[in-house]
Amino acid sequence: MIDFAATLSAVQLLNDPMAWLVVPPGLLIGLIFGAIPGLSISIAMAVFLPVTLYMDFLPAILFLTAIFTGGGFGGAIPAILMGIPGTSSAVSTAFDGYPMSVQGRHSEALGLGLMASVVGTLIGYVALFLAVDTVADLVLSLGPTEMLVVALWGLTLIAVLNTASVAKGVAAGILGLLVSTIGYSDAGQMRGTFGSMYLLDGVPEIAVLIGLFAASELFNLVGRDYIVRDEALRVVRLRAILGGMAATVRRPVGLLRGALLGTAIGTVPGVGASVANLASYAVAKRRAADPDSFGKGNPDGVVASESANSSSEGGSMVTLLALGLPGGAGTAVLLGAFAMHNVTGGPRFITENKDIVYALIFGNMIQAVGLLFVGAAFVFAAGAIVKVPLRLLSPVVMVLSVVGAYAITGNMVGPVTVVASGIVGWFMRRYGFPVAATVVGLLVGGMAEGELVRSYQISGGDISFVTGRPITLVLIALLVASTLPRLIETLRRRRKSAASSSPADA
Amino acid sequence: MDRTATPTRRPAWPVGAVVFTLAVAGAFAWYAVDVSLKARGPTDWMMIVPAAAIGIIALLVCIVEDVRAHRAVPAPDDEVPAAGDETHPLRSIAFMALLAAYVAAIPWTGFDVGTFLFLAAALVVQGERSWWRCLLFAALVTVPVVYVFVHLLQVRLATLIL
Repeated sequence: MIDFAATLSAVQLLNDPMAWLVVPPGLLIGLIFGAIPGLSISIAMAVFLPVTLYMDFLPAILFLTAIFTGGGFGGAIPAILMGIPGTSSAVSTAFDGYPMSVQGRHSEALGLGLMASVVGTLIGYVALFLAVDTVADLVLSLGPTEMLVVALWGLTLIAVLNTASVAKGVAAGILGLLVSTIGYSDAGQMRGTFGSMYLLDGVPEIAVLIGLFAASELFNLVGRDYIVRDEALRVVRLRAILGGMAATVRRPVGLLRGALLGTAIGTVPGVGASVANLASYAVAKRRAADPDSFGKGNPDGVVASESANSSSEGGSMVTLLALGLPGGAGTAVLLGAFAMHNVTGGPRFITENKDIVYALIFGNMIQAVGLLFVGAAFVFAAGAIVKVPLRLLSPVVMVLSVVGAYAITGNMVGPVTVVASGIVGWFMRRYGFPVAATVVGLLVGGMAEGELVRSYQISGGDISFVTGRPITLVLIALLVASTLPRLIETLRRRRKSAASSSPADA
Repeated sequence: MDRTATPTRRPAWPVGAVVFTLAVAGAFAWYAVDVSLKARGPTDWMMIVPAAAIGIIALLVCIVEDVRAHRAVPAPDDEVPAAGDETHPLRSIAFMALLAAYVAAIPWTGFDVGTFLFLAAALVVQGERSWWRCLLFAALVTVPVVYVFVHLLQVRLATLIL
């Protein structure tokens, strides 16, 4: 229910020029941190959090959310240009963005990603504006069994992401899942730590992601001259960037679907943009007329991924504002900013300060428009990366990845993880195992085990407990309906192609 | 391309792929057994053991698939890859070893000296022969990286000189 009086009050609050001065630098900081593998949005927000101490509440939150918004797209830039996601929210952007770069269509891909991010952010905040009260009630009704089904749905993405071999996709996904269980269990058992105290908190996910994507890819690129082989294509054209942006707008269905899916996933605490981009990509691929074109430079893949990871920001703001719960690291820092200004999120905050909530929402919508201009200038400059010889670029990226991993973990576990997962990732790529499936298993595995354990503990191991939870049953039905037909069709197609390609006298 | 060279004999099965797959399967099996032996209750293993079992089955299927695919595809002629399209497994392995050495040496060299040496050596591994270019490149990257992380981002990097 829209409160029109609060809306007018919010517009008056936003008349403060200070509220807008902080947005462009925030966007730029987010873009830079998101674009460098090893640095994350949450690091940027944490580093600049003390700066907001002397700001009023509204500019402080707008500054931090500008970093959040900029970083949400920033991760797409190395994903597209080098196949190395700058953040976990840009993993599936690399699947089609990087092949587009290799084909010399990097400017177009950057334009696609930028516009999808802008529109996705806008849609996420429009949804927040319209439905914050209703969605808050719904999120509160999610229990461990519902979250378990969401996690299982996330794991089924593994099957969709793999094209060559179902067995290799499953094996790679389970590798990620098992790695996510290393460390202390809920019952206090140390698993897979080899007695090392550094692994008690588990294997750092971002370091694994950097190793699997960045390091292993860079090992493969040794000996190659440039990312884009054709010298004539190795330029950044503003016209092509604008063309990519226009091409995004010509994909309203995919754009809207990705944005709504990302918003919905973003509202679920602990899931966030990391899963949103993968889920949206998987759905887009399932519904495509030519699913085999995904992974080979299909613009729809870039649009699906970027619209979802950006719109999940609006979804995660619902949880933060309505429940006072952070959905991830970035919103946890925002919660810190709230505390610094003596503000506590939750249902009372929304009812008593609706004008501020609306001001935050409108401010973020305007930030999204700001991203269009700041982002366009940034990608035009960043696109020059394709002109840098790989023999110079690769070592620099490796150094940033190692140092960035150290910055995240605060000890040598990060850099060691980058190297180890880079080596494993290289062998996986060499023998046809999809590293993306491992990343999915890693990101979703922790959540899946946690919800499985909680479901077991609450139900006492009685499976009939599920029948008493209608939301769980509905989610299970949706899960089966969305994955089974496609799986059957995929197996049928593979059996058909195997039969037609086998030799007659085998 | 030297067509008079003796063609390399192709192994009957994909050795590298099978060894890697078996190693991963072995790791899954070891982890599942280790966790279940030390488990304090079913919650410790209820996801790990079934997942590992599924993973091992999937890996065994992978071996069968790889062997079949290897035998179904005829041995390729010695082809010259397209210019700029070469993959250099030995160079990749050398780069991996260099990266591992860099990370292993950091506790002694610090990030500044370690990064400087790594960058210079990385250019050498990739074919750069001019020593001053290697050193100049290493210095131009190391100094700003260390400065940004230590002084701007306040990350406590262990350094020897900077």
